[in-house]
Parts: sequence; C-alpha cells; structure tokens
Amino acid sequence: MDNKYIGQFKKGSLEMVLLHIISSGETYGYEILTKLNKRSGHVLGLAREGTIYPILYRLEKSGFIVSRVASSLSSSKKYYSITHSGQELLNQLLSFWEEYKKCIDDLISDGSKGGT
Amino acid sequence: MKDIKEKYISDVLKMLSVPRSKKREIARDLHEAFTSALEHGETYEQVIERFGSSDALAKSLSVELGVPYGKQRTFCLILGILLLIIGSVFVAIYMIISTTTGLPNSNLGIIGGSDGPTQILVSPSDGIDSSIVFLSLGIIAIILSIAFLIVYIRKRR
Repeated sequence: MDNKYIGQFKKGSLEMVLLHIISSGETYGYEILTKLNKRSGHVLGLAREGTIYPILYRLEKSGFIVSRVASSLSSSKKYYSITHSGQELLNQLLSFWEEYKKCIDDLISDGSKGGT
Repeated sequence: MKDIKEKYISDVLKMLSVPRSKKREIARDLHEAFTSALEHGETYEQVIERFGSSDALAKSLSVELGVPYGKQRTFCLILGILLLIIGSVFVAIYMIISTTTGLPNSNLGIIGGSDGPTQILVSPSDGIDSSIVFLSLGIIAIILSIAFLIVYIRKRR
C-alpha cells in the first residue's frame, strides 16, 4: 500500500502533527515518537528519529517551538514546548486542514456520484 | 554495548555535512534517544533496528535537513584535490618542456656566405606540440578541480 504518493501525504502533515503533540504539553523526543507511533503508526507508519528530529530542528529554528535541556545524574532530556507563534501556526494549519478535508471529501463524493 | 552506541553515533556524524554546532546537537539528541529507549525497556539492538543502519540514518537526516549526503561531499573533495594535483603536474611539465626547448644553441645552425648568421630552428615533428597538450590538460584539470572544491565548500552549509 505504501508508495511515494502516500509518503508525500504523510510528510506534508508531520509538522502539524508534531506541533499538535507538543502543544498538549512539554515533551521530549522519545515521548513524541512513542505518542506518534501509538496513535497513528497504523496509518502513518512507524515514525523514526531520522524523520522526527530534523522537523523539530526546523520548527525550533523558525521559532515555533523552544527547547530546554534538563539533566539528571543518569541522562539528559531536551524538552520541547510550543511558542506563541507556533500555536498561531498550528491554529492556521488545523483550520486549513478542516477546509482541505472538506474540500477533498466533496470533490471525491461528487466524483463518485458522477457529478460534474 | 555502550561501544556499539558510540560507534553508531560516530558513524552517523561522519557522514553528515552540517556545521559542527549542528553535529553536536544531533549527537546529543541521538544519545538521548538511545538512553530514553533503554529506559523504556528497549535493547541497543532494537534501537538500532528502528534507527536503521548508520548510513540510512545519516541519509535520512541529510534529506530532512536539506543538506547533501556526506559521501557526495567527500567525493567532491577527493576529486577536487586529485584534479588539482594532476592539473599542477601537467602545468609543471609544460613549463619544464617550454624552458628546455626554448631556443637551445644545439638547435641553431649558421649558414655560411651571408653577412650575419641565419637562425634555423629545428623543431620536433610537424605533429601536435606536446607542451600545449600538457598545458591544455592542466588548465582543464585545474578548472574542474576548482568547480568540485566550490561544490564541496557550498555543500558545507
């Protein structure tokens, strides 16, 4: 089932999905990956660090998320949280997503009914 | 087992064409990814299996970060240096040939009967001048080497 067209869909929505996960509370890399895979792995496929981290770097560089490193004796974790501009972007993306879904659904349902 | 992790991360970093600060960040994040996974009961093997080979992870990171994959950049550097050496050698050969065949005395003859000597230059054959061939090849190699080195430097960012 997986092909490059489906891959493009997944890739295009990952920023929004990651922003959404981070918007629900401060979180770190492994937790983001686990949440993503648990909730959407059956459709989006298993996310990997090689895909997730570069998106987090881009979002941070653009000022949509910020990070802080919290160190303990055994390990250190980088916690991400959403910024004000990140929340604005997420709202825009979610709003667009709703329109997009509706638009595509309408087009497809028209097509399947044989409409013009 | 810790060595496997260190070697894996080091292999990934070697293949990344990103600034040192970004490499440090990626190294830190990969260390964290390993530690977090182990804390959640995964084994080193399971983590590496999910990451994929060091080569695959470096490639994936490079693609997502929009930077060239490390091997391409190394290839540009090696080829650039090699062509620079070859070009320099060819230009040096050209210079040696042109200075030794300047107008040597052995190639001059004096035709008698005239008021002054008439110079007769004895040239090799009427084929292609080898010194020009070396010079042309040298210049081409140097131009190509500069192009490859520019690509190498530009890919660094």
